[in-house]
Amino acid sequence: MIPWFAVFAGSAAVAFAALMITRRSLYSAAVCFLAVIFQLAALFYAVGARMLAFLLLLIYAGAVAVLIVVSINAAQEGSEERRRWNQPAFSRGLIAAGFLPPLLEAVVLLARGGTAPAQAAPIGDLALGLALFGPYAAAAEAVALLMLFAALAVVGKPEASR
Amino acid sequence: MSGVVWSVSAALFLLGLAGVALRRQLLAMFLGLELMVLTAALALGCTASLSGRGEGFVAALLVLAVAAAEAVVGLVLILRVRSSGRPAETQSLRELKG
Repeated sequence: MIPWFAVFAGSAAVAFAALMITRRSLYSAAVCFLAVIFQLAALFYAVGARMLAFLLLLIYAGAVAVLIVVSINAAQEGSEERRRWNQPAFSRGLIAAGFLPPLLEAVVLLARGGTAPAQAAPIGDLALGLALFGPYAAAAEAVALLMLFAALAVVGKPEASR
Repeated sequence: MSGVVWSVSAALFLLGLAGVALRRQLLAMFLGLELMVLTAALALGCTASLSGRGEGFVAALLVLAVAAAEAVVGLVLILRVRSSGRPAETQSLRELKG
């Protein structure tokens, strides 16, 4: 049995990743990256990792993608790069194409009661939480500290800021 | 299912590697790097799904968290390069300041 859901999501992810590295416009590349994230979340869902799919959407589509767009804006402000990076012009069609596959996948999931076609057996969120805060608690704390240090790196020293 | 996911992971990893190797803009290279990390997490999730145990999902979750922290630090470094007056491209980072 061919897992059509995963094949569709994977094909869309590869297509948008190819677009991401070939588009000269960084805004277009960011939109393609966002579309790839959506498809990766669908693939996570298909392999039974529902919590990871939701976290991927929350962290990357909700936070990191916004950071990327803000960084693109900030990095090219008032420079010659703005004209160069934005060619070819930002395409609204690309946005529509990027959000069409997730929409179709959401319709399929809703029609099937939240279960993807040929979906692997889902790992329970309770088991994931127990593993995360049980035998792997030290690793989870280390990653939490790493994220704190990343936040401190963003703030930086006051005298270093210009 | 697993064959499809692994094939997609390999293709996406190679595309991310191509983005890192071929693009000159630091932000475009950063997107390729993020893609590589995410596909590694996807492969981990698929392996965990095959084994039927939750440890692989924990590893994938930790990889996602580390990748998010790395994304923040990478973007800040790119913005620091830009704020120092240099273009955010690889050509402006050829020399170390000693």
